[in-house]
Amino acid sequence: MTSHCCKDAVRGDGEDVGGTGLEGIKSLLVGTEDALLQQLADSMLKEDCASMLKVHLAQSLPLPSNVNRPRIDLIVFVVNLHSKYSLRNVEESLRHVDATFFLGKVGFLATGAGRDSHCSVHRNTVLKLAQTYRSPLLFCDLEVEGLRATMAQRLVRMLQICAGHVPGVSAPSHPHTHSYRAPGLYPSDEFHLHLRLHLNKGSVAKNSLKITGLIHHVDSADELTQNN
Amino acid sequence: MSPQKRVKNSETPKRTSQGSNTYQTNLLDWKLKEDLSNSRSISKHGQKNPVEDYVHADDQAEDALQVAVRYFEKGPFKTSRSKDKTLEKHLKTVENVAWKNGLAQEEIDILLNVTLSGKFGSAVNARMLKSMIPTTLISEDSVVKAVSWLCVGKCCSSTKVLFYRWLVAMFDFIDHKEKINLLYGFFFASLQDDTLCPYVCHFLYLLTKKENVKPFRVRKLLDLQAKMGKQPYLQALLSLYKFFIPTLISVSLPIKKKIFFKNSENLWKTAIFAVRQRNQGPSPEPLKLMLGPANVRPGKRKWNSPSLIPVLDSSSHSKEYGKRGMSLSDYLGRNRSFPVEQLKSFPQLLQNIHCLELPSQMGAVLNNSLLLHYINCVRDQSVLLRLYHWLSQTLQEECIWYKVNNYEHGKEFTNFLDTVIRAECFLQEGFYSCEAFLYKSLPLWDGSCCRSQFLQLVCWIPISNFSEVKPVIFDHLAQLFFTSTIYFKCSVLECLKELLQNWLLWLSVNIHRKTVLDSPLETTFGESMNSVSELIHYVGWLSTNAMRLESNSTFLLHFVLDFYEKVCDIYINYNIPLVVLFPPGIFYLALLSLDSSILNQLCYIMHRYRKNLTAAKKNELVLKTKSEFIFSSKAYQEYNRYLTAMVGCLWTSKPFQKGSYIDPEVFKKVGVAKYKKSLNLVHHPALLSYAVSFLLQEQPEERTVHVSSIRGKKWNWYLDYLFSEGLQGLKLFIRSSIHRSSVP
Repeated sequence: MTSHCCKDAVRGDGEDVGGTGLEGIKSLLVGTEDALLQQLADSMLKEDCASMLKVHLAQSLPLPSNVNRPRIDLIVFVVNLHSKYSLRNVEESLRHVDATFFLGKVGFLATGAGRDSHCSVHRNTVLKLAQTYRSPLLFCDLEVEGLRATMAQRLVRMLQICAGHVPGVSAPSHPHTHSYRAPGLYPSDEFHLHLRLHLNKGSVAKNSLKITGLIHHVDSADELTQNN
Repeated sequence: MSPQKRVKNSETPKRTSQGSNTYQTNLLDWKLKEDLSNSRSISKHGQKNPVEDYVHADDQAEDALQVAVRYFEKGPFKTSRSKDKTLEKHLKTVENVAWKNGLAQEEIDILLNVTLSGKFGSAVNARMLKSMIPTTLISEDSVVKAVSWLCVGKCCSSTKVLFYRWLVAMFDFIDHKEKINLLYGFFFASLQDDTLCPYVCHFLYLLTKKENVKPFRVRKLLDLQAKMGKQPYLQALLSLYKFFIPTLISVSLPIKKKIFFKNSENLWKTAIFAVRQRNQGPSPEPLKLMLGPANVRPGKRKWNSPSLIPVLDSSSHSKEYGKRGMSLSDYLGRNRSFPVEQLKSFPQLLQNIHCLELPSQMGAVLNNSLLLHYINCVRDQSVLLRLYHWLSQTLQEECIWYKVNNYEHGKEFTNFLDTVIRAECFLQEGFYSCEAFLYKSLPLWDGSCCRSQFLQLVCWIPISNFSEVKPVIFDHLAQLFFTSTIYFKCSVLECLKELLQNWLLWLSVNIHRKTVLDSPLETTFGESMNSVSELIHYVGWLSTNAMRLESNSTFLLHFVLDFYEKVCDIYINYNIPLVVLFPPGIFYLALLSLDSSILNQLCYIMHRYRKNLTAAKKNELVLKTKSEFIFSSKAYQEYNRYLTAMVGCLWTSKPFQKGSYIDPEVFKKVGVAKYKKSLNLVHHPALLSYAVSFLLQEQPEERTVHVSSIRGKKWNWYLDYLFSEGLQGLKLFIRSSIHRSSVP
């Protein structure tokens, strides 16, 4: 299978460094709606972004293998809910995506959910698809300029994280890919978990003082007193 | 009926009623007697005259309409080509006028009669029904007459279906409904018709009052359900019945509410909007809701677009009551009803509360604080249901992102949401319709349009099982939260704080009842407590991650700490036995912050935690019983751990020693050999500038200052200096948590 179309939209004057450097961010939009993808890409390029942004467009995957491909930071599959073909196309393309991408570098975007009556693909179908691939699903009616602009902004933020441009956060750990689960363990708590401070057995106080704040839960309400 | 007679009669209203008797079935005519003439004359005065004053072109259209109406009344005598053409012409006229200005009550009356009498083919009937759009209101009697035609069985089922859809769509514009309600049994019997069933169900859903719910009807509905399967429309009606009389229905119905009816009024959607616009005239400026006389509308209009909320109107009522003497409801032993637009003051409300007749368009109550009071305390659930139904439909129809082509309606929708939110704030509770709307729309929300309105709607989500609300609300909110700007994050945190507060208030009011029967999901108190604590953990998770994403922004941290200022005081402020500490990701960030106000806020929160925990402990000791909820030793342990860390850093200059031992080699490697003191009150990066200006205050001439010189007595002076600089949180914290013995 060959790709039908692959257009690139680039902003910035930097050279394409072939996917090795950190300076460029590259994303790939896949979907059958050519015009909409182009508009979305344009909106994304208008966004403020510290580094050079490249948006590639493709109707389907795989991309032709003879070209030297840069590394891609985020693939966004655009499903038009008004067309079953669009969904099938995305499902087909998904088979060609390397498994590592599903560690936070894939997103689904469903367009057309606003007009319920026109939908031939149910929202839940896309939702299930996104859940199967453990990837976030965003809704946006791309025809509307205002909505498209905010979506572009969100995508660029996701992209920056996927490209590793936000210190301390990486694509797989980006919280938007997981939903909140049980209370208790917070992703960034690992460091603090071994910072356990137990109730002191030795002396805490240096100058003569006592911490009256410590509260025992055990059985008595005695205050903990330390004096040198 | 004979058409000729009707034409004559319309000129002499008195005789109309008598004449009409001849063609009414016995069931109906006794009801119609007094009423017809009145509604006639009103419609003549009320609608005709202003129309005539309009532009000349309109006059001509009116004339053509009259001709057309007369034509339809007479009916086709022979079908021939030329007849078809005139028919088409007249149909066009009716359609044009209807969609432009709407039809007057009497025109609708005539045309409805024609349509349902089956004189014309079903295609013509369909077109006529579709153009049955009122200028302002539809008289109840027209509907009753029309229904009587259904009994005769002259029209085909597709016309019947369309008629019911029309009834549902125009329900709000029917001037009153008592007589229609008397036909409840007839409508109910129509349920047996399989094609009609969904539409009749929808209509009954709107029409049902408590007294309509009867055991035999419930039985019938259950039979139908057994026959046709669990159809959503049947379940809707059943759940409405169950709502009115829970004891009658023991079958379990879906608790999760969803939209039961397909929106069948799409055909008339734009028309309805136009009618609403006409009915309310210039839109009132959003009213300030207050306790006291509701002055109905200030004259100025703010926006050019009309508000979506109808104006209080029961004018047809009050006028009729004057003339009619005894109304039908009086015969049935009801009280005379009090027209709502005369309601001006709170005492008036109290005097008439038993006989208040609510407006036919329920949305009008949103702008009227007195009626909101009424809604709040009224026992009759149908009032609330009507309001909810209206609200759900309006929200759904007007929501911006459902109508891609009408994006410019934004302002109008925003105003509408503002009004709804004002009403919610006034009642201090959320509307169920708004909740359902959020469930459906939050995934589609882009996070920017109507942001503040949307988030405020979220604030009013009623307390329910967190794990049930999570997938529909909080998961989507989290996704938006993480991919949006820092300002959005701040407003979400602010909104969640409000939500927490609303939940807490609700809980604290209901704490004395162990099982909360009132709540929609019949949750127990313990479950609600769990929901609250899960909400807090959820926000903890959001904020920990947000801090990472926004590279520890101080601005954001302020909002996070604001949230915890609410959390730490739950036990004392709301008397709810719940203490949840903040996650370490927030605590340590705040402790090591470069901003003194953050540190100050952290100190204040720790101080409040201490107050709450000790109060809880005292209570526990007094009562000798452990509170069955959340007071595990975990909260105490966490608190102690944080406190030790804080004292270690700020006071004793022994940070990270106990338990969390960090090899000094590590510090050497990083190049901070003297790390121990670097976090105490003097050297802490957030406070260092205070230390310097404290020293400079003493010796303004000094060029080099040694902050390490602050110790001993100077340390105390320094503390006083810090307190005088407004670090009140720090003051409270040190006073409560650190006891300095006077003898060193």
